[in-house]
Amino acid sequence: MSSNSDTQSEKDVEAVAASETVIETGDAESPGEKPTNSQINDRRGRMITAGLLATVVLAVIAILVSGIFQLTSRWLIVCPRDLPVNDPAPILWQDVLSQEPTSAKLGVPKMVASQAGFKSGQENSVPNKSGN
Amino acid sequence: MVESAWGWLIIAYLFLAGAGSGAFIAAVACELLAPDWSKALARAGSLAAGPLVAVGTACLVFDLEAGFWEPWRQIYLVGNLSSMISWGVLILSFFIPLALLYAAALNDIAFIGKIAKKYLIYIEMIGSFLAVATATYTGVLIAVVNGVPFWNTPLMPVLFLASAMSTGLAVAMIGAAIIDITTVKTLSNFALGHVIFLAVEALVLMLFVFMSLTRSTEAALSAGMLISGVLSPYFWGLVVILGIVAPFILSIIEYYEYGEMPKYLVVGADLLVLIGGMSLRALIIFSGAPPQVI
Amino acid sequence: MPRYGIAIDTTKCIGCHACRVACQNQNELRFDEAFNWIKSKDRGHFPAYGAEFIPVQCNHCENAPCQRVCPTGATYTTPEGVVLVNPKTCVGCKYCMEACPYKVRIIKHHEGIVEKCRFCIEMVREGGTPACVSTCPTQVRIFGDLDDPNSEISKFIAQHRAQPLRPDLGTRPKIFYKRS
Repeated sequence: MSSNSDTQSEKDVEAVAASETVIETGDAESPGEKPTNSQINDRRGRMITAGLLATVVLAVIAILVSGIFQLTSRWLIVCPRDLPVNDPAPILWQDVLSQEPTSAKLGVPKMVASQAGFKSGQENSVPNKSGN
Repeated sequence: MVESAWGWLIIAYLFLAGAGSGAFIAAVACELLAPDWSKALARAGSLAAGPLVAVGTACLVFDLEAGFWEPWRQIYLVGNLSSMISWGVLILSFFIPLALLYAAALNDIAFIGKIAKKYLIYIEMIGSFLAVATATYTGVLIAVVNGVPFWNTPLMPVLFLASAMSTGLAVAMIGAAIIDITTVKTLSNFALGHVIFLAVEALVLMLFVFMSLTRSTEAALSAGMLISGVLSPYFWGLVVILGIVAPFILSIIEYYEYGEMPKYLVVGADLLVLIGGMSLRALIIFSGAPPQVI
Repeated sequence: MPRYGIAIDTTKCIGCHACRVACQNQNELRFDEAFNWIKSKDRGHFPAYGAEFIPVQCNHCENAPCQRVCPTGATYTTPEGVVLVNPKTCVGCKYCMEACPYKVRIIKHHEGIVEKCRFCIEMVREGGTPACVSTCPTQVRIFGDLDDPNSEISKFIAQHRAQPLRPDLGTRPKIFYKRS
């Protein structure tokens, strides 16, 4: 453990800040050793990098995790495929999307009525919209 | 999975605020308790804390809808002190400048750093209090929602604090490795810290899940989603194995093989803790099932 | 000051969604936004099978969790007991949406604010009733003053022992249901 702190104290001495205030390390610094501009800039660069990089790393992790969730959830959530056979939804949706609005009279919409058969059994017996 | 009004921006905020406040606490602890060989970690923690919480708060602001497009509405945010969001705004408005001031003080940045250095102990005391407040208020914010039984437990702020401590230490260690790459060897001292924090987090998480199974039907449903349901791959894979078990084992090895572990494994363990922390926040938000009303 | 509430008789509700559509019309909502959801509950198996339709909307709780958690105070309760959202101070934080146990609040992204059933308060103050109440073809809903013992709603609630949804949650809701 002591050898580590020795190497570290040497590094600390070399990388001391330019400002006149002394950093409170336990190691003695040789007075009169003026750090060069490159060392100040290097230290400042490292500090800024540390702060920025910590934020960037965490942002990357946040995006990574959200990406993992969103990409893999597709395989976990199963969409139901047991819709009823005569599901009128696609036909009605086409009706909604079509440009000219079909006149909405009471009764069954024309498009659905032409597709579905009714219990009265006759082929063309679409329920009479206005007189019945 | 449940349709939640809160999305990834809120989850990102919970993660960043937790990690930032935890990094601040780690920095203060190193500065006060172990000044010699942990200078780099104290400095890194202080440098990371302010920006992280600030970016998290920015995420919060982006998630606001009317409050984003008409920013002047945000002054109303402190209007209701029964709301944890109002408390959060107050806590964050004091914590973020203080964290940035602490970074300036520890790293001798600019004129203000030199002045702040004289009051270091006060910054540390008030800052630690605000950091713990930041880490726990996010848990309280979620816990007071008695509309979601899974969240409505006093263990929630405890879980958030435990997760904030372990992710904060991980951030501080990554930052320390950047500032001074030789400290990778002395970082092994902090492996014990990781072991302790991860053990506490695992314990609280286990307690949380167990208590949810008996608290109410909906809480049990949410816990079931995590343990064996649709969210279980994320829970076991990302949170438990990658986020707690793997870094725990790596940290134990790191502690015993003092200084002999390759750098990428030391930093890798920290990254895994962070991935686990983010996934945990996401899972908590996504598993919040509302009570059955009919 | 009247204290407004609604009583709903689910034994007569046929699930026609007229109340939902009337509400969407009244509040100029889009087709995928609704303040009023019709939930259905199926019970049993053939030959003892039954279905129940339960319209759910904002209960205008007396102990509203949404009001407690709103940071801007945009959610407030009028003297008539109606919980409203001030569209000028809502910031869209969606905390109220998470806090509501009945999940009846929606966010309108194009306006950036959270909205919910308003008991058609403008119509009510003019002497009318909410759109959902007046539209219902089977007269499932009764709107009135809960504090007036002679009002139709008070008599209905007392006679049929109508209960709100999840009273154990402590929100003191003001929509009462007769379910059997």
